[in-house]
Amino acid sequence: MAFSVDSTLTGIHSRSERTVRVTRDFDRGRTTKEVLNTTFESDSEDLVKLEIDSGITRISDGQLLWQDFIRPFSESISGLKSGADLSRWYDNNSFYRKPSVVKKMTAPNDSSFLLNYSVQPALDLVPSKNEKIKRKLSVPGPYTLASLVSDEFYHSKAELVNNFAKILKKILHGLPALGFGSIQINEPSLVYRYGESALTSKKELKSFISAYEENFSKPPIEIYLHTYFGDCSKILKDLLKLEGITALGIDFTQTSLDSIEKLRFGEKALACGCVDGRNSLIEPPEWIAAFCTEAIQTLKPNGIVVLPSSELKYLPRAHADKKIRSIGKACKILETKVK
Amino acid sequence: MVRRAKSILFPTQEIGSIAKPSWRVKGVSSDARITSKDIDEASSWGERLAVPDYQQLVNRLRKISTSDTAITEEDKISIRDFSVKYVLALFDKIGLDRVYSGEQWRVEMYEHLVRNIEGFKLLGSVHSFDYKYFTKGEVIDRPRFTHPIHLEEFEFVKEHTNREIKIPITGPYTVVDWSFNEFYETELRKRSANKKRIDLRKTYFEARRKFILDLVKNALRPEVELLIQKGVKWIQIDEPAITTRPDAEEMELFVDATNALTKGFTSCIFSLHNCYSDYKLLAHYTTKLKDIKQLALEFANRDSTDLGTDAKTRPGYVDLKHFETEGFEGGFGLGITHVHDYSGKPGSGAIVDGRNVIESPKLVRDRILFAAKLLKDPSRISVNPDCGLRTRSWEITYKKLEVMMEGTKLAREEIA
Repeated sequence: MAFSVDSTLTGIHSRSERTVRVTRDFDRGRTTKEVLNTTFESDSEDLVKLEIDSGITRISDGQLLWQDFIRPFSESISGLKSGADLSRWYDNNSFYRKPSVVKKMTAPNDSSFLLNYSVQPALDLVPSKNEKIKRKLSVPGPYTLASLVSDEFYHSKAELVNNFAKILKKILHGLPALGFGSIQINEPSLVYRYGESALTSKKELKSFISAYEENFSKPPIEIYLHTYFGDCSKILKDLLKLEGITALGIDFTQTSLDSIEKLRFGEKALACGCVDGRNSLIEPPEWIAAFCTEAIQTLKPNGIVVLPSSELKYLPRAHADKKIRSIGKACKILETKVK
Repeated sequence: MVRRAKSILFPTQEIGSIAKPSWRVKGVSSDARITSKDIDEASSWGERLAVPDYQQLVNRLRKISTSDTAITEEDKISIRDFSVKYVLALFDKIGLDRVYSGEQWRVEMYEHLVRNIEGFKLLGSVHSFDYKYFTKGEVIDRPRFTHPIHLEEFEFVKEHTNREIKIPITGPYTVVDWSFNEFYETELRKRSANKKRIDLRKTYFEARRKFILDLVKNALRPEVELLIQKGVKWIQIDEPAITTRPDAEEMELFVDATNALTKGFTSCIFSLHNCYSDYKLLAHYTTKLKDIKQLALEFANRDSTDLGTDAKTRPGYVDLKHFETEGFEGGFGLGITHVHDYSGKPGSGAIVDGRNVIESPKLVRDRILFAAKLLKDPSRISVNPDCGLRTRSWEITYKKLEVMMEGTKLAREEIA
């Protein structure tokens, strides 16, 4: 199989200054829901057009309607109570409303609840007949969900992880019918301050691995599994054994290539998070391509997915968009090199 | 003659920002209209607090509200000045010992500073949560002091109060943490251009260290030096960002930057304000802060609202133990009133008023007495709200500060 070069966004994108203004006005009762919806629609459309023009191959609507990365799930999974209290989103100056598990959780009837958080006209712009391009959605993984909620019911992290994995499996099976061809499961909690924060031991990692193997080893859709906000060198070996994963993601702003140079990706692609999602510095395409080339030569993956280390919502929109253009150009350089 | 708070047991102090009145916000904006409600507010608070010459403000607001021409610069300055006078009158009426401007002079704690230091550029809005955002800047060149940042504000306050003044200044760690570090990272990446591999995490820390030390040396120290020359006796360094990145290298960076900022300024007292934080972690590093004489911290938020002076009823203040265990010998600015929205059922020492919890004087008293018992030295305690009260209305702020004073009085009587 030929070496693949792909590109994508990591999750929630930055809202445009116009959207910022309109959402503020809406919050203060100075504009209508209709104006709000139209603004989000045009913002997402602009973003999708930019992704297409830049040559991004896994395209999302930027998930601009997601107030935080947990919210669509806390508002839709039965047994989860949407929280009022704000909690810090890892070590960012960004917050989420922490939900509580108050009873046995059950998945929504189908995955269509996600449409309430998607901008359909924007997603409709994604070419459907181009095999290289897929519509993509990023979701929090079971371990991350289990780490970010307040558990008042299961009282067992392993059980919580397993339950979230089952719910995500059901949601994931409904995605092709909604037009999605790719899903990115984000698992920052697996690596954020390893040993001190969420994931504290190999035993905990095992609960994630078994939940993953049970629910995602034969997925109906392409899966990228991305780890970020932390150093993945201590668990990468275990993650590389997971089946059903097309690409495995590394945040290279946190993980040094030296620390993982002895590992090989084999049948998996490397999702190379070398574009810093939390810094306004715009990486030149040549720099990104050179970084990816070195990573490819070291880790020997069967393909590369170039992506930002984290969501780009931590940047003002103009800078986030520039990063997309840079990624697109870097992929063109890489394609030439691969050929 | 400046009243000195030193000789008083449990001196009271404000921490930072007070809500900007609607007439203050609209009065300096080009696209908002001052209404009769805004004028009534200025009039009633002016009368209630006996603000000197407040009728001048009311008349000015009336004139602006009926005029079709744009608000003049003179109007804007006068409105801003009056907002400081209102805050000082509020503090005076309540009887606070250490005061400042309620930060009426400033847009916002981060923006005010970076707008006034060369080398920064404000980039745009970044999502915080829901429909809330903050403006983030980047450092595009070595930060440099070009003009006084807080001096005019200080001199204005000094002219209008006879109470002890404590200036809050946003600390270097928070400025660096809330800014994109484009300049220093670009510099370091250029230097690594010939290397086959680059360790981005290592580069990030190196760049961060260079940024913070330059910021202190070239921008913040000159500002502090000037303020001290002009008579500032107390500077509160606001560092809300510390402990959000709990790695040792980050905490060391905070310590090094703080020490570099305060070193050698012996005629000025330095305090540090931090809140909603990991105090166990913070405590570990406070003994390394060479010149910090007081830690002004939030405690009420993490405490119960029941009356009592035992550890069970005062869980929030038990955190003081971390600082004692680590050997911090300085004073504490004890946060005794909650400053954000409150949800839930209050205990026997408080009532709920809308989205606010109003502590009783007895609850404030118990919090102070428990802390005094734990620290074994009441003279180490000053009393303040958890943080700036800017998210509370003036009515609630007034109530909270009034209760704080009454509770402090009860605690003083108890100790006496």
